[in-house]
Amino acid sequence: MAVLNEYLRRQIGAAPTAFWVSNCDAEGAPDLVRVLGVRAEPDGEHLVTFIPAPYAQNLIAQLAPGGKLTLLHANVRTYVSLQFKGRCVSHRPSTAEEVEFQRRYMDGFCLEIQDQGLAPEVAFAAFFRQPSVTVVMRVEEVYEQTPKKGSGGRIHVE
Amino acid sequence: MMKPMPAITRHMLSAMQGVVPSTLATCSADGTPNVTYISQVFHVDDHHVALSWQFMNKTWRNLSENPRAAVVITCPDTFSMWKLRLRFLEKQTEGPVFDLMDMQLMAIASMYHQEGSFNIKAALICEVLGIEVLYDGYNS
Repeated sequence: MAVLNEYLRRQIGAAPTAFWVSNCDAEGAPDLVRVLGVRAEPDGEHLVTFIPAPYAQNLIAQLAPGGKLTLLHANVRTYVSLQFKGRCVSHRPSTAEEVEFQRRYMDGFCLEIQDQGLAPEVAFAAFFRQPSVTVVMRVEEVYEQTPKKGSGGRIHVE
Repeated sequence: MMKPMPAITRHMLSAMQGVVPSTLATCSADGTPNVTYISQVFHVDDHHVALSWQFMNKTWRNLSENPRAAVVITCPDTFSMWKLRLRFLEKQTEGPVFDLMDMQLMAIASMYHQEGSFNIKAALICEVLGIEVLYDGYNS
């Protein structure tokens, strides 16, 4: 089990950040989906993320308590990137309040990427999909993923 | 009747220029997923792509243990998205595909003002096992 320090929690909340979640099926075939934001729980041990169901039917079918999950974080402005590895604790349909959080996150993300010449309204239409599934993940390991020499090292967390 | 092989279409090529980085998932032998951004998904032919190996040592280790992978590519104009299911075939460190990828990578690095820091170690040749249209921006 890992406890996220202040730096890691700040990175999760920093904008504009893209997040992806990945898991594998019983045959070892990986799957992945861009998710609609991430929240760090106050205990520092868990992350909550939101999966757009229309893009991830197979991935959602593989979700189970104790199943391995990996979450990629990438700040598209600074290129700071982290990988959180852990296990699924639970999953359920997102609440109205969580859908509102997802909308705010994706609105903010799409506005920020227009600096890179990408149309925000087109991006939002593509990325924001409902219904969504809320996944609680327990973090076990964190890795540095920023594209540079020596990237991939494990970040020590308690 | 034999199932037709999935083929890369003309529309998909616009998502393989590196403007929007692609996202690649692999899985180790013990079932731990790894997900990372990747600068290039290079069109080798309509049934094969090459992944640029730059920094991603874990990806390489995973593909050595388990050749299955999945990558999402995105068109920067329409945000059309496709998920390609892949099987790793071989690593190339020279030859025409490697040289073309090296050249394209320099252009991508220039686009991101990262000249000098994008060096390709190898081209990872993969067979396309399946293609899923995630979002059709042309007809939405």
